[in-house]
Amino acid sequence: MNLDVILFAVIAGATALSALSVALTRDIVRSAVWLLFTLIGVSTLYFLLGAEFVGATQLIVYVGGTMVLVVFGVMLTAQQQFLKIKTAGPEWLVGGILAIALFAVLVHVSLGFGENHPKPATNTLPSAGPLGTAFLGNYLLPFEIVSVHLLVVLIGAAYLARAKRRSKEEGRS
Amino acid sequence: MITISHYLAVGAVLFTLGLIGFLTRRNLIVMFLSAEMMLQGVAINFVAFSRHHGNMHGQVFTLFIIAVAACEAGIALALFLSLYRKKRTLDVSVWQDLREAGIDETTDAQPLTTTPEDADPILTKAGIAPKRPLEETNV
Repeated sequence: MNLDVILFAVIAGATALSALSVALTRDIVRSAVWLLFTLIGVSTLYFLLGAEFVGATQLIVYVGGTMVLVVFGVMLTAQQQFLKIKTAGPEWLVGGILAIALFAVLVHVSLGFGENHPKPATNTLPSAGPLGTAFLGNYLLPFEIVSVHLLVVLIGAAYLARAKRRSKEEGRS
Repeated sequence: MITISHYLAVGAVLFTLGLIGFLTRRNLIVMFLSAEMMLQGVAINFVAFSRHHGNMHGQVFTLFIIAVAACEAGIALALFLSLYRKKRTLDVSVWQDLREAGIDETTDAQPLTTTPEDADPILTKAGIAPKRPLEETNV
């Protein structure tokens, strides 16, 4: 047992456990907090894989930004009977059977992949420098499209969530 | 020895749990959280394959996934907010009129019980302030 294996086992176990809690917890706020731990675990897995830039971006964008947005959404729409919702038995049955079948297929494929494709000789990831050069070289067009996309989403979200003056009369009717 | 299969298995676990959450819940926000978890499972696969092949294509894909997911979160929560303002609920089955044409409406076997909201507190009416007795001061 070397350090890599222990670290991977601990982080993967924590990530899977908090993901399980997201799926099983009935409280919305707790579910959001468990998702926070899942996202932190995923970013740590990126660090273990050697993708430091992706891990840092995950921490900044997801953990710092998106989760705060989600918590704000929960608070703005908080309602007592919706904070805790029971799930009926048939829903668990259908969802569970579908998910377990999919999981079996995915694990079968991923375990078979390691045997069929031996490890290539060079498996060190390029660091942030080549990644940045690639974004301004090969991937310039998608990069620009994503930036325009972000701008459009910013305007669209502000338009959707703005306070409407007549919304009260329309909502009550 | 940790191989790519282990990382792929973690991705599969995340995707499966997200799928369970997405299929069994009826609150829009919890469904959204589960969808985010499925995206994370896919992103782990991308980075693991990027490591396996020793190039940066998977990492670039993951960065684009993160950017688009952030956009999605912003739009989705703004949409949830405006939907919540309209009907005062986050139950997905309320918006059945958005369903595909030609499909019958599903009836809810266990409708949610709604508790009536607390009435607004009644405040005293505004008007001329009642006369107060003069206080003795030493000034």
